[in-house]
Amino acid sequence: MQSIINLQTLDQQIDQLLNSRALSEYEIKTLCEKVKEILIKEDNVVTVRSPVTVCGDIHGQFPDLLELFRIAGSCPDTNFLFLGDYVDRGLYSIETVTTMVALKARYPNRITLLRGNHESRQITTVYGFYDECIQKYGSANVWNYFTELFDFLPIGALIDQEIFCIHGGLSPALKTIDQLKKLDRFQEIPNEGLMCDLMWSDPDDRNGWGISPRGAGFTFGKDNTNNFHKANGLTLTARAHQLVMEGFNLCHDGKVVTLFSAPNYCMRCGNKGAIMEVDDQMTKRFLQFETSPETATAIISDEPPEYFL
Amino acid sequence: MENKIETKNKFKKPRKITKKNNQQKKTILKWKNFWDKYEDIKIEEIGLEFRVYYSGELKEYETTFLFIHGAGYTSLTWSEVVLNLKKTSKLRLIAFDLRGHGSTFPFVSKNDRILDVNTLTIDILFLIHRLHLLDSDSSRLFLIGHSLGGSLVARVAKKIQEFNSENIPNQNDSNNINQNIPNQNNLNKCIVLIDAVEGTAMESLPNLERVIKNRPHSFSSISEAIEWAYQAHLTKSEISAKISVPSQLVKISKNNTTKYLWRTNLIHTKKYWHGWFEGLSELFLSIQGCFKVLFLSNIDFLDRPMTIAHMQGKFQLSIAYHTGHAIQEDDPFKVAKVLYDVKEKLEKDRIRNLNLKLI
Repeated sequence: MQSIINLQTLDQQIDQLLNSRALSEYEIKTLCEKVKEILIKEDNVVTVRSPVTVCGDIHGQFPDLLELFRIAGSCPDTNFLFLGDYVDRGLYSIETVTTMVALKARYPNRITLLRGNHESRQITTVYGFYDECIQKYGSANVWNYFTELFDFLPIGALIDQEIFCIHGGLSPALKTIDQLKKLDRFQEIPNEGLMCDLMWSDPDDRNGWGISPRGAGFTFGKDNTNNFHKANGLTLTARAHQLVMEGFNLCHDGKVVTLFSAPNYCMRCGNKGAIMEVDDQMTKRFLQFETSPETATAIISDEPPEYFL
Repeated sequence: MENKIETKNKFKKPRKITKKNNQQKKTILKWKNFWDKYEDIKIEEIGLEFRVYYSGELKEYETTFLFIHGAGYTSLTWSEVVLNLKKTSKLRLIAFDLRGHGSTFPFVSKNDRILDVNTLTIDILFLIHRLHLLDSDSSRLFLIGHSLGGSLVARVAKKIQEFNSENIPNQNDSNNINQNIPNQNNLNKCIVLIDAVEGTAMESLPNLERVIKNRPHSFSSISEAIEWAYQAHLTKSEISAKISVPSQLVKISKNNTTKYLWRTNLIHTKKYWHGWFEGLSELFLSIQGCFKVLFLSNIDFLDRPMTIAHMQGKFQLSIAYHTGHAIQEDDPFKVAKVLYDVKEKLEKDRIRNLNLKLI
């Protein structure tokens, strides 16, 4: 059954969200249903055309997301591609992910949302999103709606056939992008295997595949990147997943770019956020931004543990 | 969801101790319920006799887990973790009581109270040497430490790394199957730090003296001490309280009355507290050639350098929710499962690399 939700309602909801007022549980349920219908039609690897602005991890830092929109322009005037990790750690995972989902419902062809390793039931129970849902809505319903939706998010994107976009990185099990088309992505992120690697892997200075210190995915070297690019006619892999102090970082001779869009991560890391604009000539421009004044002044009261020896 | 994950693992919760004997007073559990044997090992160079507990035998290509307890605790804090790991077999599990703790005693001078971080690190290195834990290239060594023990484990791993890098030319023999493989894929060492984070420890130090002084100074019976520890949430597991708490006490008899005092006087260790944790984050992150796991009860206990490093994928973070400071006592199943999974993972990678090498 098609979810009934009209554009006017969506516009109101987006307006409400951008003014930092949350939606009701019922509204979220309806939104998630609507977006599932959109996402189920998207390929595992979404085809995206330039110009587009690519963004890294947000992690519930909603005031910083608003800052990002101020710098990048807002949807639908700017096309967006988000590389995942909308929730966990920050104080406003619900506001962040609801905004993303509402924008997707309103402008399905203007915004692409990929899945990050935090868009998972297992991870969100540990890193904050689950607790935030309980705290703000009094039950796990909202968490259930969103985590069911996360199973529908596409895994990767391909900009103009030459920029491969993925949350984490490459996998020893992945030779060609075509291979990904056959993957059954509609599931919880597994603890190992191709789908897990794509969400968890990191580039490394050393050549070859390595054990990831994270305990999931792999590290991949310049040789792995080169082989993958050659086999698929790529010029760049754009990924997120790792904090980089400048908000963006190029490695593997400029063939891999890391984007991180959560400035001053966890209100303690002192990093910049950054996004990458790709224009219709495929020229890339990096825009850095600092944490919003609102986040900077938020008070956190972490009681230190009582006994510690 | 937690349950769904848990059903996959091999670990089952041990049977609840029957309430029958238990309603009046807390009974003591013996080391024998958890460990295979113990021995007291004299190390002449440092004048101490260490109490060492064992479970399992070492066979080639297998893994040894060495557990280091925190300040005030003893080896027996690991009992429930050991019980869970034993079921998976093929592991050698070792724990010993640190200087000034449990049943480790000096036999020459009064060096029981010298508890600075360097002295304790050297003690561990002596024990590792005596137990031949680093003799074979083929066996894997896990160093697991809680709190102060976690800090010590990081220092020991760093010393081993420095020693190895100084001795690389000697290891360059052609029989070494591990050489010439790119990347650090043949990790045969792993360190696991349980609730040991420099920034968080430093933050809690100002309150610590008050917390320790609020503890009862003595108990009239061991069961009273167990009851107190359990009520005060020092441990959330009744089983852990019954095996761990008695080992932290000493019996004093005077004028026909018997009292139980704390074996380790933590207030006397105050001058060492700062040094136990200072520089830990930087040190932990600088250790190479070793798989690193940090275990916490709360994600917010990461300090700034550890938050950055975690978000850069520099180590594995495991969270055991609803636990207190002694995670290994509060959720021994979770700790055992993570240790087991890491061991399996490193083993699988080793097998994969041996395969690559053979091709």
